[in-house]
Amino acid sequence: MNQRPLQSALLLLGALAAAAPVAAQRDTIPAGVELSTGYDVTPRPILAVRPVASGMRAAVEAGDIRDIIERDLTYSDRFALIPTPARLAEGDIVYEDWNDLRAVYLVDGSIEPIRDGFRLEVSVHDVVYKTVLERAAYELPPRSDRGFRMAVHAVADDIVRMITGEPGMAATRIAFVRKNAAGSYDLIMIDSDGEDQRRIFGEGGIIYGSAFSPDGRRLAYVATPEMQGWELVERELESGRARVLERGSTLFAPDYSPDGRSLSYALFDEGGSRLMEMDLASGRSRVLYEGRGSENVTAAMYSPDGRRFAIVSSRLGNPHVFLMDANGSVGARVSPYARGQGAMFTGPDWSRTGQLTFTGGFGGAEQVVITDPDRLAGQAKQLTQGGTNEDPAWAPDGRHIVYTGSAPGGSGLYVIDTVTLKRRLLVSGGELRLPAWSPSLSRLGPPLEGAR
Amino acid sequence: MMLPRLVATLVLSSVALAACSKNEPPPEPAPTESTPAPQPTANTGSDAEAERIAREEAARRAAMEADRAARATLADMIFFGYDQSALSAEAERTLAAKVQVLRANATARIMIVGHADERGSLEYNVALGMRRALAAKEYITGFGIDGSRIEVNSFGEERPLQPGSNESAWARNRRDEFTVTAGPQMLVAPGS
Repeated sequence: MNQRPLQSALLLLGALAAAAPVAAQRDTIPAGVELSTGYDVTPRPILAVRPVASGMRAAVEAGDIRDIIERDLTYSDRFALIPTPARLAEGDIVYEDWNDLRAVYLVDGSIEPIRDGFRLEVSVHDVVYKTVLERAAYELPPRSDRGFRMAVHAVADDIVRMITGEPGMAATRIAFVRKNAAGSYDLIMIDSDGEDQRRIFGEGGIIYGSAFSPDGRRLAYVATPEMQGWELVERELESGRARVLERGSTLFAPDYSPDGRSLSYALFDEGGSRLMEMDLASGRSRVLYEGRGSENVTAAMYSPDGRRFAIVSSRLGNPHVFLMDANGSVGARVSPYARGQGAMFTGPDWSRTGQLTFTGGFGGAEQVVITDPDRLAGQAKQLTQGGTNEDPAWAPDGRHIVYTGSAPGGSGLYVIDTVTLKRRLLVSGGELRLPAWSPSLSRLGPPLEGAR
Repeated sequence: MMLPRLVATLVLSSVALAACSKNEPPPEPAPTESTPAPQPTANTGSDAEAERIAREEAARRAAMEADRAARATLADMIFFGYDQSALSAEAERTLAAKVQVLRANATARIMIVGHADERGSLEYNVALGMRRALAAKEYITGFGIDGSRIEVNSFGEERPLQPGSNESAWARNRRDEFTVTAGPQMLVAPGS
């Protein structure tokens, strides 16, 4: 493996830091840990969202819809949003006017009330080629309906797909655990834009780590309700019904298989530390991997194709991330090896495109790192600087990551874009941890109509 | 003349015993209607009685002290190095003292809960705490104490003993805690 000199690594870090709104700190990466910096610096196309046309009866909704879509497109970090000048807010679209503003894309829409809500028509214009890129119509529930915001988020995601061919992440929620001052724990859910924060349930004991099922309808989590032993629980989010899947001295890190039929988890009791897979229909578990001697194995995360795992094992003395196949044979070490540094690498999470993110603790301060386990095993790109940043989880767009961060900006959950390194505070608070990102919750299905 | 004295003695003893259980000095014996008050005589019967009461009191205090000391021994925490579950020499001494108490009290059962400092992931620290609890259990059962008397658990970094993000707090949080989950009302000292 090539050893880049420390100065080059720090220069690259400096370049990364210049793109991010934080000051670089020089001492978080020890010598010998290789970083790669292959991030995309193409400029983002300029985009405007015109006010959504409506009659008097739908004016409020029209305003909300436009605000939500504009914010979602901003948060996608794929576009540079510009405001619409008053003179261009209504009436026919003249592409030259928008060309003068250097806009590349223009989003235009109108709504009308229908029986059970609204019908929203959206057109996405390519200003450069002076044409309509795509047009679609959607049904939205009433504004007072709990699904209203999520339905608008789904429209924003569809717009991202129309322009880029890739999925957006607006129609999603993030679940996380909040430790209260009294020592109790709550499971909280929040929309991807930071709105509609809700307490889902609370426990007198500790709640650890949650995972969404692939259809977004269930949440698996670990809790110790009476501080006696640990329980693996599955909860249906709509009904609130919960069932205990497994009990043990300690167990943690539940993860659903991509087909939603199995659940992996780590179990540690007097029988040792091991990784398990439960068939959800039968409730029966099999051992995926048994730790040898004093080896701690604390997570087994399914790859996007469900055929292998990223696991955390302490077989080298410190916890590291390894790949493991479904037969339990452990293969390549994914996390960087820094000799004598006391480094810890934990909490891996797969993106839909097969990238891995995990927490790297370089002798104290934890930071979020990403890597390509097949092409860049042993190297890692550090995404965060300063303070303690950990527990990353990918958004379903394969591009954004939510994590627990502490500085700068204060403690809370942050969302970072892995391409531009833009960072936003999702929710602030000192004792928030273990965020999990839902799959896309869009229940729109395909839009009602294609091109007119 | 023997009978009234016997009755008086019995009355005195039962009153004294009753007073002992309330942790008060025995009251003056109350004379009954049909019994004259006992007269101190050259015979040392009541002195012997006072001595016996004093001995019982001393024994009771000693038993309470033994129980307190035994519980303190069982509750003594042990501490660990960073990312370590190996037992230090001091930890081994602390555990060996617990072994003695557990040997002397065959029905006593304990729970060992391992903890970790805040560094490292939440889940890794649960595993680390479990390692620490198992290390202590293994040491104790190595002396012949039955494993069924010892439960283990881990709370990772969730219940720090000392809040703070510095070396001294971290060192205090890397620990095993021990609680008695079953056993006699009064523990006896080792060797008794």
